[in-house]
Amino acid sequence: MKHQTRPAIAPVKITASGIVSALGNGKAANLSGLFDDAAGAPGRLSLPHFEEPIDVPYHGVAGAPEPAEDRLHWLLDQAVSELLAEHPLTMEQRATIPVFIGSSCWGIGIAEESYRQQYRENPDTAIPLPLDGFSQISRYLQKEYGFHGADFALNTACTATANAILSATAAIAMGIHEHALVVGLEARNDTTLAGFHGMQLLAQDGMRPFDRQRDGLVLGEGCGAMLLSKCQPDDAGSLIWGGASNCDTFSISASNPDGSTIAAVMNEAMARSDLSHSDIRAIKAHGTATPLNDDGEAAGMRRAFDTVPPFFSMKAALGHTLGSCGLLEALLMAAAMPEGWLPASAGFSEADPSLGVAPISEPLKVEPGYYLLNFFGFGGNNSSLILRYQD
Amino acid sequence: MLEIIAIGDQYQPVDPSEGLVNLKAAASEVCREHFRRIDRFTQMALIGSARCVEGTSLEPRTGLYIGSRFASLGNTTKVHEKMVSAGIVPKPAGFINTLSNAAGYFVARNLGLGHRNLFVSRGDASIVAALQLAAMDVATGAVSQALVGAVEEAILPLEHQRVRLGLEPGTEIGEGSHWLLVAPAGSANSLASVTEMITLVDEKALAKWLGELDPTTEYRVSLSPWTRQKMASTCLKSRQMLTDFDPALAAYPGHAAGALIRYLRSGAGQPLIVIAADTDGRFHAIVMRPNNQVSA
Repeated sequence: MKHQTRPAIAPVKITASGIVSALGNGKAANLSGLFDDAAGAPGRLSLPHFEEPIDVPYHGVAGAPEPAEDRLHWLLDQAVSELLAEHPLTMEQRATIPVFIGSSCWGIGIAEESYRQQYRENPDTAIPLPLDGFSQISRYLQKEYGFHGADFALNTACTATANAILSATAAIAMGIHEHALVVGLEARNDTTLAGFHGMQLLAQDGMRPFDRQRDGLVLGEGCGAMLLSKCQPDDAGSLIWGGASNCDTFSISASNPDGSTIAAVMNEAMARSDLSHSDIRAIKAHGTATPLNDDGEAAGMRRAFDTVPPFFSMKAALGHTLGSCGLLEALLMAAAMPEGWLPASAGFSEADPSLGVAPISEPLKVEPGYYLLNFFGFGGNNSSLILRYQD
Repeated sequence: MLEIIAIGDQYQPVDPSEGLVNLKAAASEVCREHFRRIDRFTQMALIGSARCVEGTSLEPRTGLYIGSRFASLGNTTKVHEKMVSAGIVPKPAGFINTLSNAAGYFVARNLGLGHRNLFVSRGDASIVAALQLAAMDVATGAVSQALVGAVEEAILPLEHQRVRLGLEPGTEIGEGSHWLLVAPAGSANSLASVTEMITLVDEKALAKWLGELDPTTEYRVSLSPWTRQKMASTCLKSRQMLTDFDPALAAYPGHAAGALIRYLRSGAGQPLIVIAADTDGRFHAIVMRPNNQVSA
């Protein structure tokens, strides 16, 4: 490791975190599920409100209430309460620290339910989207936990929380705040599930990122919360060392298959972190198992690296949690590193020669150093984060 | 904190007897290529952003930041109407356009921007959030300048729109796409400086913050109709150095951004404070100090 490394902006420490996902409630349960080969099979979910019943694969959270608003609050409670148990912020601290939230669903499930109820009662007076969905998460965090600081409801599709982490890091680097709270949430809703079903992007038998047989993704549900704090560059533990994001204007729904924009965001993340390519010990790939994503990401890694570092995807275990995946996957990676191992690439069994690269099929021993995490989304949004781990 | 170096926008009040203004021609006029299946929210973003940067050479590391309370409201309500009333699965184009960052993609493509590209929401203070994100990225060198927009689309019927916005019956409704090109503090050709952006937890905190302003400086203050509904009149009237600025805009969540641009075009020289209330009792404020380089 280059101890003299100086990132463009000061790194921040992951001081505390909390998570609930299809793998379980809390970091311990999630890590256990992540390393359990048998834990990755998705369930099935029926969507009864459509002209023809829709049945989709889904990594849903067990034990969550059914009503959309209760569900959203419950998901937040699980993640935030674990974080606060680790680092109990005072009410004075909570009142001012900035809150960066990333999600793809926001309050859309609550809006669906409210409109459906109104429509059943009187179709002529029912109001579609009767509420301000983007404010639902912040409002609950304010009301229930006292987080009244400036809030940022970021939505850049599947990079939303990766971008939230970058912005939170910048907020701390500016010297105005000691801490920033980052929250990612993806809750079950018909719009998203039916939308992906309509786009024919769902894999019926589970996700197989970078596998020759890959045929799509499975959506997932979850919530994570991460407290980022000012730190010294030589602090031990998991630090957000830097990152970058860009916009690929090749297509609204797919990265440039030549990998150029994906390589560019990884290269910029490393450059802004003052790292060379050989400093990267492993890559947490976005890895959605859709042909277009995995082709573009494989091409990007080959373009950026002379020798592609070991890489893996977590999504076959967690599901694709869309706007919250940046937070959930970074959080789990940071939680796994002190345990000494990163997971094998879930869902992978057969290399695809056309990709020119293959993910790891066995857990990877963690060494102190730098790790790169990729996140890509609809709308051409690409983000790469750098995590540094030190004993 | 930030220098505003270019402005541009598109705005109209909504006359329900006329329906919503068709924006196809205006959007086509500013687009470098023909974009198929874009929705009205994206059309508004394309028009406002292009007007802002017309005649300006954008730096390669320009970031793009869109703030909006509802994002693509027209498209998303259509998707929901079909989904709930007839059980119809969203069509791919309709579903993609429900993504809040779809408009940002098309603006980036139209203007050749391949750098940081964010969508953010904070109710009627979404422009404050977007400017704050831009300021962070400018300060940390992630971008060299930032194109920041507030885009808010109205939909019919207006009675429904007033319910969504929490407005009193009969309130005139507008819609707009307001854009600022901003650069680091001290940049040349500044039209105005944004010197403060702050979130205040309640009206008491707002009053305290106003009380700490320099009492010898004459400030103008702009409030949206929604913010006026939420603020006690004593908060401003007790301070002699604060006088009202009326941008002559109808009610919509982009009012704060529209006020910034209208004020710069007015040629007024005093600092402007724009205050936007949110739905949780907080107030978000921007202080802008003009450099008087904009002709009316």
